[in-house]
Amino acid sequence: MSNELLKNIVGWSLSLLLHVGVVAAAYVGLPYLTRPEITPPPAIAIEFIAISNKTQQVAPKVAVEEEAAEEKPQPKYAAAEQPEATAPDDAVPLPVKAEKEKPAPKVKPKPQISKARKLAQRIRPKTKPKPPSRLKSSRIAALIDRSIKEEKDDVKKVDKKKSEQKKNEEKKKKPPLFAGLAGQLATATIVDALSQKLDGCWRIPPGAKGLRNMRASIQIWFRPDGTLLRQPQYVDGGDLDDGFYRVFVESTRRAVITCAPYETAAKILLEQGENSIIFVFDPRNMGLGE
Amino acid sequence: MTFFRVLLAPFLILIVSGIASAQLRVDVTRGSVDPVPIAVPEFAPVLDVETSAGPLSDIGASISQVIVSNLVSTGLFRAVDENAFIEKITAAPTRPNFASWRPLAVQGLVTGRLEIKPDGNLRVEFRLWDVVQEIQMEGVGYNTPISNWRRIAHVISDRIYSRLTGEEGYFDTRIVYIAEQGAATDRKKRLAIMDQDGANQQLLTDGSYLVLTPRFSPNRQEITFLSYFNDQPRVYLFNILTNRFEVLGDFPNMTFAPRFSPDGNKVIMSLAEEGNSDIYVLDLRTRKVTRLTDDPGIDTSPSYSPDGSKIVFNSDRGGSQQLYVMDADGSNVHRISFGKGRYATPVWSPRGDLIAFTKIGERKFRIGVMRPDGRGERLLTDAYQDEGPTWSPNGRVLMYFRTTRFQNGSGGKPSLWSVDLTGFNERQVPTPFDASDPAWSPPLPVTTRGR
Repeated sequence: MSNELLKNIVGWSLSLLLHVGVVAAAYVGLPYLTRPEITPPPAIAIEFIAISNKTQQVAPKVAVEEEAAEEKPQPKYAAAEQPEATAPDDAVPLPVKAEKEKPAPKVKPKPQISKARKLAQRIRPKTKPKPPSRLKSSRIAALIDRSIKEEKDDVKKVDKKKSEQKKNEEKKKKPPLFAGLAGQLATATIVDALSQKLDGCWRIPPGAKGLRNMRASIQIWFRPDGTLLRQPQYVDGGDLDDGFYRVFVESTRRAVITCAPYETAAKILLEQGENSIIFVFDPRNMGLGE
Repeated sequence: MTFFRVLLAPFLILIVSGIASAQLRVDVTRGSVDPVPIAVPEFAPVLDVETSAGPLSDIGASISQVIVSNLVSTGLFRAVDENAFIEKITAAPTRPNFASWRPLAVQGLVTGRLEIKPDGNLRVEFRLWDVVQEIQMEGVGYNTPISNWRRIAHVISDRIYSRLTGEEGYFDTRIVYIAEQGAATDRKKRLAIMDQDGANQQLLTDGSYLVLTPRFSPNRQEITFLSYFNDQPRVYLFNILTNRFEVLGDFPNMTFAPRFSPDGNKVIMSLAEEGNSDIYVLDLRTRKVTRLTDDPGIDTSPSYSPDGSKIVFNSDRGGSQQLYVMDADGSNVHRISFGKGRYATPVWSPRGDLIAFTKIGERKFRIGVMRPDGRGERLLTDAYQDEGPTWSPNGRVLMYFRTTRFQNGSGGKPSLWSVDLTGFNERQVPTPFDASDPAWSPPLPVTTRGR
């Protein structure tokens, strides 16, 4: 009985040890049976930038070639005529101006050089003594080969330099990729700025029926200084015979006149060959009751 | 990064160059809703003479004051202080110096001149100038008896208002209301009429009999109202221009809230029979009465839509007092109010887009509006007891009466108030007596002289 129990205990222990051994071997060894996992490259942190509704891009300064202003001839003003004074009988005649004696032309004194200096100027400085020549008749052939090789290298270097220089010049000649884009973004900034400016000038007609659905486009033309070239013009939108709509359009025309001048817009847009803007007035999103 | 740029650049260039190639367009989506600054200098007399209504220069000053008062009362305009005026407007027919008005931020400038014609009538000319665009927007002259100067001021106000807002004016109109006097137990109620600004008050009845619910004809200078003469309820018709009363009908039972149809040919009202009130319509030409509703609930306060095709009324047929709309022949009845509380005295706007009502709830009576389909309910007032709304002819302003409770809690003091459709610009209308149940007239005919 006791032997059987002992056998069982030994058997169980051996079995347990064996199982533990198998599990340990699997735990330690199995990972090495598979191929090592390829670690992914480190994640690139990308910042999501919240883009505001209004662009903040500042318009690049445009190099303006200043034209040399023509020099206008100064207006000649007629000299005020002095009343002729009549000399009274007892007037003493003004003294006659004495003629100035021409001074004798000044003779420039020649610099006087001392004999010792003259002598010193005559003495030429001696050239530095040349180092002893490394040219040896025994090594002439080797030197010729070396010089040919160096010459070839020099030509290569010069060619490389030239090509690099050429590339640089071409780069300089080509406008940068985003130069045009920046100009366009400047235009976008102008659009935002103008929109904000007009917001402050537009008095919406009070209480017009159907105001929520009204829309009007007004075109303006401007001079280089931003002032209006002519009266703003209604472009399209709706029926001007409708009293409500006519009042609405009038309010938009007043707004563009009140907001003038448009200096900055004129400066940028004239460079792009534009001298007019169309303002589209649209109060739909204002939350008006009607 | 360069890679992304290279990828994005063509797209961006395509998009932006597409924009740039077109005309530059700027969207303007916001604006100011502040009152429009206007200037109305005194109307200048061509020759300052003494008239039956005072010196002509005084009349000119009064006309400009009435115009300013009218326009400012709308809440849509702001009058520039006359002390700030730089240019003095004279009777000379010249353009104003716009540069003098621009620094004052004036948008509309009203100039006027007046003179006495050889026939003794007053001639008033006015011009409305757009100071910003430097153009004349309106220029009209009127001939009228001198005593009518105030009305001319209202007519001019209407022209200016209409030109600057696109809406019809409502200044040359009148209000009929119930003037109340005396203690709560012995209250005298008389029919009274006044200009919309409270001027020219007149009492139309002597107070010996009770007068209720006056309503203006939408197209004639006539009033219908309910009166208990000799304790007998009668519906009367009163013509303002001829001062003639006419009995529309003797109704044996209780009658409530008569109101004209839009064409003025019918009067709709509620009649009570055996304790049940229903809607009836009376044809003024044939005097024929037609029943429109037949329900055990109390149907009352009917009001036509401006095109006459529908009628709104209140009824408790569903268990509580609510608003219902039906076709003009009484068919297709459907409920439109579903908010908390009870709804009463519905009135269809002359524009047709809204229905005004009195809402009863939260221990208050308040004035509100909703669309004819019941949506978009808005309360415009918030006082202890506001009720009985009436629309201005252009559907822009509501007038109603407000009862202010006495200190001891018994009864209250009614007065007339007006409020803009937006809920702003709430104003009390001055009356010499306590006033209730106002009704707004249509615009007075301009060609009619005298009153």
